[in-house]
Amino acid sequence: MKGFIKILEVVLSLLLIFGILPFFTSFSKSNEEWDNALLSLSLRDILISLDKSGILKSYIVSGNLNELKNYISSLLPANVMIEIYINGIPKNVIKIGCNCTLEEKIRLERSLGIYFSEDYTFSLRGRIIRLEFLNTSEIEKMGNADVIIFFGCRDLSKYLNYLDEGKAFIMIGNDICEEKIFNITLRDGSVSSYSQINSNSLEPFRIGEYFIDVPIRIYNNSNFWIKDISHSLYVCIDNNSLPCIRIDNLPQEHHIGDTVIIDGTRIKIRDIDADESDGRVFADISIIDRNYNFYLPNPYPGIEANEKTILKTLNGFSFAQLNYFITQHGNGRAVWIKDFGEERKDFGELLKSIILWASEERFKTETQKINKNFIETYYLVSGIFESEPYLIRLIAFYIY
Amino acid sequence: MKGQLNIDFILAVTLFIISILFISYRVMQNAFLMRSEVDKEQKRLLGYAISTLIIFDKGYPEYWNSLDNVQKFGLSLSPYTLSRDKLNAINNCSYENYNKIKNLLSVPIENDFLLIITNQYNEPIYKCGVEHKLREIIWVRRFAILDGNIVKINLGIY
Repeated sequence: MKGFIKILEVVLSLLLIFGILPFFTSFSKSNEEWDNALLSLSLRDILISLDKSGILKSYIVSGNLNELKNYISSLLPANVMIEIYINGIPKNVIKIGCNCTLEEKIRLERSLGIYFSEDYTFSLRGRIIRLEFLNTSEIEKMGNADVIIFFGCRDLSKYLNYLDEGKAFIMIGNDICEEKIFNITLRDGSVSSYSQINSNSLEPFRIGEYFIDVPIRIYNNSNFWIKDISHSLYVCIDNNSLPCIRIDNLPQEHHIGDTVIIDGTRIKIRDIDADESDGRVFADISIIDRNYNFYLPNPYPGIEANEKTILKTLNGFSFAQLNYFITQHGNGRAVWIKDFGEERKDFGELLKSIILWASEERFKTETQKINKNFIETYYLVSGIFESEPYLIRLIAFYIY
Repeated sequence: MKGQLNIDFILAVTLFIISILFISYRVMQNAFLMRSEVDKEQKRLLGYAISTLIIFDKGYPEYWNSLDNVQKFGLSLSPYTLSRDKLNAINNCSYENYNKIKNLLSVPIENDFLLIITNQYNEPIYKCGVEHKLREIIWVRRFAILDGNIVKINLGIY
């Protein structure tokens, strides 16, 4: 019995020693932190070097993020995977799903100044942007779309996953529905017919920045609107054989790069095509006044303006609302805008700007399954001249 | 009975000796590992410090092109842009030039370095330093621009 107790004592003391000692003798290595720190340093070095060498800009201008991803991957160890997200600029190819009838689709295209297949492409801040309409009008088949546009109300409850995928909904119409998604609140009162782009909030301000830069195409002998007045545009060739335009049959000739003031509003002439051989004679113009007054003859029903209002009347009503961070994961964008009519090219210019803004969230590489121990690097490219400010978010992780 | 060892005692002493041996082994093993890790960390920090100098510092004189007249080491023209002339001056450096660079960088006497600059496809374009077959090397990899192209700076510290 005595011996048994001694052995029990020894066993207990050994258990205690073996239990406690590892706390004093164990030595935990922090290899993973070093690996991540060095990877993070490499990513930052690569982004700065790419930016300074001009390589980054060439990839962004061409819009091919997957090629940029391959280039960066070739510099990193083979066991590192990366994903790239660009914040603050639109995609180069914006896929639009029009959940609408054929007549509505044509109406939408006319609003955007699209009459021929060449009109789907336009130039913006040194980049070529292409609007690509999906071949389907069924919302269920719009998995590829970046932006889904429709006229009037839709029940979107079955398509909230689209928002989580970073897609955007744009609703054009005077009806009120899906108030939560589109951030709409009805309000009684007398609504002014004039509204301006709201510069007091960041996202509406950014749409305003697109608005003054984006061109809208006006074909020869057709009309465009400034506020509540329609004006005619004629493409001409001057005495020096240079392409020009004349407005409202006035004798003055205006050339590419000129800024014309019409009804107190500045219009910039961005391009003129006077060559009749292809049957397309047109001018690309932009309203470049940020405080331009959008006119709407029948502004009812009244929608209350808030910090997410794009077009705001002086008496606090809204003609266009936006929303973002809609889903619980903080994804998705939505815009509601009143129906101004297809002949209103000022509205078309704004709608184009809204489409550009709405597509931003999907400017990223094809996402794969990301390891939970990923590291993130942010790099800000500041905008100068024709370039624009944007933020690159690089996610990297070891696959083994 | 006197003069006879109790079996309990023998067992207890045996267990005690085993435990002491095991603990001693663990302590020595961890001490060795810790020493090795500290050594690696020092090499990483030294490598990082030198790589920063390579990428950000022009050296003195600013546009030096020969190790004969350089007073302060640095391989850049501007941050993240390397100078072709400076790289030519250190390429395939002799022992004498290696020691001069080591002295300019204040690398501790017990450490050595190996600098290999490769292009995007990992093909070496510049090299300077010494190689030891038996000593452990710790690599620090940085990136910079040379004549408009991205290059990889591989800096190994022994």
